[in-house]
Amino acid sequence: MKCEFCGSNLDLEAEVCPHCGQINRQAKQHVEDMKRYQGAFADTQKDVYTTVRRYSDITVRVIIIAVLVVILAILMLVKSNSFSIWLEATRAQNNMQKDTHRAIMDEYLENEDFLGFADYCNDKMIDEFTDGFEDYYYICSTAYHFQQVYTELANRAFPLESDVYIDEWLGETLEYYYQSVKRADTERPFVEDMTLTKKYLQEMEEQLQALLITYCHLTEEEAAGLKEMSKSERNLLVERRLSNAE
Amino acid sequence: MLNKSEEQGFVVVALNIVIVILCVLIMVMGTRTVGEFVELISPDSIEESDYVWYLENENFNAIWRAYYNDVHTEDKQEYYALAQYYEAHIFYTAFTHTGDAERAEKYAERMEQAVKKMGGFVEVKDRIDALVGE
Repeated sequence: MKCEFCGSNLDLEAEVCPHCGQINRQAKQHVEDMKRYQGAFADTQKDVYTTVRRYSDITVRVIIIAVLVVILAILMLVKSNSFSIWLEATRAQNNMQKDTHRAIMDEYLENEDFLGFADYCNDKMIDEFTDGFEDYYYICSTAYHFQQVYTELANRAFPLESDVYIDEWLGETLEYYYQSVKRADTERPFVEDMTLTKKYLQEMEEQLQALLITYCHLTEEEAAGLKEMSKSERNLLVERRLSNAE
Repeated sequence: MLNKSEEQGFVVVALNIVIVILCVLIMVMGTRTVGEFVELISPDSIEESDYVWYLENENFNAIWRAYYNDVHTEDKQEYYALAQYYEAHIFYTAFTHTGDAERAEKYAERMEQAVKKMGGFVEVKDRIDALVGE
């Protein structure tokens, strides 16, 4: 640009003419304009950064919330299924140690300790549905119910003075026991060789009959015939015998 | 009327509150979940005071049930022996009553083994004998 007073060439930012010393009004205006534009640019840039940061903050927080919700949902699912998860893990572990468990279970059975057998199976969560223990299918179920019958018999035979005994409970447990026994007779066997199963079920039945004869005051014929009776017939017989004894 | 930046500020604060709430919920849920698994894997054992109470009340059925439900520890072996003796005696009495000498002898042996483990509770044996009979 040229000086308006002396016509010399001037730089755009030269506020004073180096030749005539006059003030370069255009340069002064230019510098003021540049300051104003730079100020506006900085403000705009600041606004853009602030807005972008805010939206980034919101986006990041939304993502964090989504992740936390997923984690919470997974935790709730795991908690509501904790028993099933634990059961499956236990069963998998049992399957890995099945030889050890089977040896111990067989020892209980050989000693006719059906209560101990039932307790061991209950403690290790081994039941008729556990993989690797199929040949114990009928024994597990029947031994469990045998344990229940024993418990009710003992409660009935040796109650505390404060106990209120409900006769129906013994009837219920006997019904479940005999249902389990009958399954071994009538269902298509899940067990290839039923010889040992039948032997142990027979021994369990003999133990039960001895308990019923002694503590429910049944005759040998009555005890032997309980299996074929209906639930109501069984309950009636047991209640009558217990009442007569009292 | 709020400008846009003030609105966005409130949104960020609200989201922060939601994040804090979710974190607290996750901590609570996580603690309870872990607690459930710990309880499943390592169930609580029955207190000796419960056995003492059962014994004082001569509730041998309860001692027997506790024996089977308990996580067995060394310090309660004598109570377990009482439960084993009580159970064996019930069977022994039944088999003696029905004339099954072989089984009765087997349970008599179990009774003897249980007596050896009774320690200071040997005197309780007589109370069980009196209760069960024969």
